Amino acid sequence: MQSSLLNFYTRYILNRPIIVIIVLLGVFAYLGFNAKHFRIDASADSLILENDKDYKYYRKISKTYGSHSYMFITYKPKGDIFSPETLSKLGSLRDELKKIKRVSTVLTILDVPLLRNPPVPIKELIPNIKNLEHPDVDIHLARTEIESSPIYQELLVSADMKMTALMVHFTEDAEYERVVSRRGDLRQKLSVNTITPAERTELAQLKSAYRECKIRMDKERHSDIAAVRTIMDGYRQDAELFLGGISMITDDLITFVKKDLKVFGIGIVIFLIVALGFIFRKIRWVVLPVLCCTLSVLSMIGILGIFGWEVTVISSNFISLQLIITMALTIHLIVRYRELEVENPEWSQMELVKETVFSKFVPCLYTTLTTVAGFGSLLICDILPVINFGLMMSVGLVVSLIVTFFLFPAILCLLPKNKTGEERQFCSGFTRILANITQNYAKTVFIVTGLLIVMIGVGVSRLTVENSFIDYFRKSTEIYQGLKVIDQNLGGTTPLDIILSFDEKKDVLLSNQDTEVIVQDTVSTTPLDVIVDAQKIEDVPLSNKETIAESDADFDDEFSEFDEFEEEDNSDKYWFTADKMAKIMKVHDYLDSLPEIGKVLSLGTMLKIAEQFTEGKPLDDFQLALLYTQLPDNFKDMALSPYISIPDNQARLTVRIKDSLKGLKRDDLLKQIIFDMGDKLDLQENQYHLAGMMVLYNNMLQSLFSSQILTIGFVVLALMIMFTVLFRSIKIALIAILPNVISAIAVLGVMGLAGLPLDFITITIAAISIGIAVDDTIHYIHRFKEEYEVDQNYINAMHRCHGSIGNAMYYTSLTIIAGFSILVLSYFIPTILFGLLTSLAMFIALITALTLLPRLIIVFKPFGK
Amino acid sequence: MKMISCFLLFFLFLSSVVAADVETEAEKILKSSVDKVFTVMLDKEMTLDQKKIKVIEITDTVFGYPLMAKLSIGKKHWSEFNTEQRAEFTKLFTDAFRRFYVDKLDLFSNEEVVFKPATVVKGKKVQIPTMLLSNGKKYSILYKMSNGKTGWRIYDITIEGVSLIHTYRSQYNHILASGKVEDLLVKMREMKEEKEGNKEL
Repeated sequence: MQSSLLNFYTRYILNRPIIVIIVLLGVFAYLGFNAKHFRIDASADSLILENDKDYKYYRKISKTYGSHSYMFITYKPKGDIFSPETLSKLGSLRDELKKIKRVSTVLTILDVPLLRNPPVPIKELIPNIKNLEHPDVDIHLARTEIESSPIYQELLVSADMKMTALMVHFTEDAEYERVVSRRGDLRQKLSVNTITPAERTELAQLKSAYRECKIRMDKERHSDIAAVRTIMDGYRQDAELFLGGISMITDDLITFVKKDLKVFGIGIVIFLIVALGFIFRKIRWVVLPVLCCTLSVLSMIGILGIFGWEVTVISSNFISLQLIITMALTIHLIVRYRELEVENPEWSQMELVKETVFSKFVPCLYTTLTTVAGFGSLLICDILPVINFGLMMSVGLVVSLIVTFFLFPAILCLLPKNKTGEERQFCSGFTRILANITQNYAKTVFIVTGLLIVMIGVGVSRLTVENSFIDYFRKSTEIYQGLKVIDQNLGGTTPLDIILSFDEKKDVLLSNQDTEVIVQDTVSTTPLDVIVDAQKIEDVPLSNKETIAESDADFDDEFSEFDEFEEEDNSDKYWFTADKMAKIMKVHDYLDSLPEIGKVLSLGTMLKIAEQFTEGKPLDDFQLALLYTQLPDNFKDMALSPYISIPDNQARLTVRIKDSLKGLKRDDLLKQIIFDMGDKLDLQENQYHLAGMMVLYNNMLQSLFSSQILTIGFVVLALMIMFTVLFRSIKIALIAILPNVISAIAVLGVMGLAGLPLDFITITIAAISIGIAVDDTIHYIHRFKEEYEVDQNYINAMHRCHGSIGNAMYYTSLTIIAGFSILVLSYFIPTILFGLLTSLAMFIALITALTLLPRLIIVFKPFGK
Repeated sequence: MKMISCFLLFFLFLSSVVAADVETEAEKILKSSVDKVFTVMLDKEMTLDQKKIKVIEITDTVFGYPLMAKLSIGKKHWSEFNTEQRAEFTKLFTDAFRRFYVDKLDLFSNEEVVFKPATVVKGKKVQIPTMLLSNGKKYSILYKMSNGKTGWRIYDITIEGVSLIHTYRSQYNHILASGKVEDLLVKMREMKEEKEGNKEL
């Protein structure tokens, strides 16, 4: 089987290099053409679980209450925010922003209703509400009101009143809403197997419609944000302005990812050229690997374009990864070729190429397969972008293997043999030192390994999972500064919704502290100051001498006469009962008390404002109903619609989490809120629901974390099986797996020790490390087996391996480490961490493969005594 | 056609006579109570507490508390109450309503109430619209009365379109939808005790 494959390879690839090159050029041209369909997606929903029930709930909530499509512009003028000049500038900034096509509203301090200007009873206020642009407005009163307003504070003005914010709302995309809603319905049908063939076709069409929508919306959002920034630039001489909000974050993420893909793609190629030139000092050993690397990446981009796989924040480093892995493959081929050239100077070029390819194909195939197994672990989780990343890299590796084993020999066959057979081994002293350490310091090797394992254990135990968008950016970037300003002064960043449901059965036994507002005889004491002594009231007899208990028949008759109450029962105004308001207020105050939470907005905010009219006393049911009937519809839309849904009998509290808070643990925070809802606020499980981006991101992260931990075992097992098949020995497989596991887990240990949390991007590093690090082991053991057969001496075989394959491993590792280190120049922190940690994994993998691995081989003698 | 028109006219005439007749009795009772309340409230000799006790004595003769209590629960849940619970609830409701009424009394004192023509609904019920004039503002208040065994009694007041019985009902129904009758009574007892406790403090 193997020999017939080799014959086929010799006949059709090595003997027909020009045809191979032409065919490959055709394939590259086709794939290169399709590369134009390649797309980056960093939108919020690219980072959430496809089948997450919380996502479905979030969609439902967004539909009921409206979505979060808005941005903030912070405006810190040089002077007072209430000065006429500032207010005039703010007005013109607002008006300019409003002219942007998809901007629906711009809310500023100029537009919000002033309810205490001057303070009057509600009834007189409603027909005569002023705002800051009203000619009769009292600026002093306005400042006082806005400064102490439960709604405007930390939303439109900072606590120190030195900064104001503009909320820029965007119109909802009707087509997108339609597609997502219909897709959700059909997916639901698909999951319960009630989908018709026609609907199945429709679902497939919706998939492409969704993609088109997303592409269009990404472009639109990008141009809108650019327009907003251009307008902002016109005001920078008067004030310090920053832009913030989830839609801006995702757009900037795309920009950063795109920039990094381009800059570091090119940067790594340049680095490869320099490194290969430095190591091999031959043009052919620079041009060939660079060709293989770039054409592999080009092919992969084309394949991504054809299949519509989108690069997300998670897979943003795939170009760097593929370039480096391809280069590692080519370096192994080059080193082998040069060895053979030195050992067999009489061989023809064809013989050299043939032997190079034949001797390296099996280990390279296995290194590729084991790396695929590493990335394959990502397929187990149910997060589409992670699955895509796993698939993307797996396909990418196969593409690299094919390109390298077709293009490299085809071109090399056409090149003449080197004139000088002898070539300098670059820096082979390093591998010699490691060989000597392995031979002479066995105990040290094991002790250091032991210490490393202890350190890893400590580090892993300290690992946390956290995703903070603000930490994605360097402190010097504008986006970081803007996010921080908004986060710290204007109520936080990541939105979280708490939905309170009021129509569950048998939930009434609330704690005694609720009683005051629950059965409030429909009243608080407002506006009366004096209450008649309760006992005196009790003592007054029913003077009309009516009997309290009448016969049932009489009552039933009476009920039929008073059916007017049955008819009107569902009227919206009677929805506002004191117990509901008390629950909302209690949850509102609880959320407000959490230091991790910034701005809390709910019906509670509105109630607090209303209490300004009742001397701080809570409104009773009657006053609430009365207030509801008196409120104009536009006020209801603004103050009530986002926070209550009467048909659903529920209320919504929206908060923003302070992302920049030191030591913020999002998962713990969510768990604490859920615990306290029951423990402190006496709510039953079915009475509240957490929703919003915060929950969705957290679900994804937790899912990613747990699936990663679970699949690491699977990967190790898969590698064990592959090692056993490759080396036909369980003993060797066990020896081989240890250094790999150490190097991969070491990355997690270092992260734990350094206090770096696992996030969307760094969480994939363990899988990547295992995939890349395993290559060194395979190459080394494969070679060791050959070298051992020469004289059956483990020490000698070890020295020969270090002097040959050890150098190849050293070059590849060094190049990979240096290549990934370039990523530290990025402005995108995950890219920097990715670069550093992958380099670290490679370094540990190299050292363990050249010390621990040979030492274990020498100790356990798996190839015979 | 002519016959039909005549019949209609006759019917309308007849109904207006009935309405006028009923209005006289129900409205008389209501007006008398309102006048008495105003007199008490304007009495400078009495303390506010004394006034309130007096007002309750007056209003007790015109409010139909047992019916109001029952309507505030509604047909659906009323059947869940046993006789003792009904009696206790009615007592607690009466207490709560009296408290609500006297707490709101200040709003109605020293104002002018304009009575509008009453309308009869289903013979045994009458609705008396009034307008409360306060600082140049008008507030519509609708008194709903029914003619039971004890004569004409108020069973609901609707202020600016908001019904008092409805506001009670939505609150009680919310509690009863998720709890038992006893839970509601416990809450009402606790509330009463709390109010009394607050007063002692």
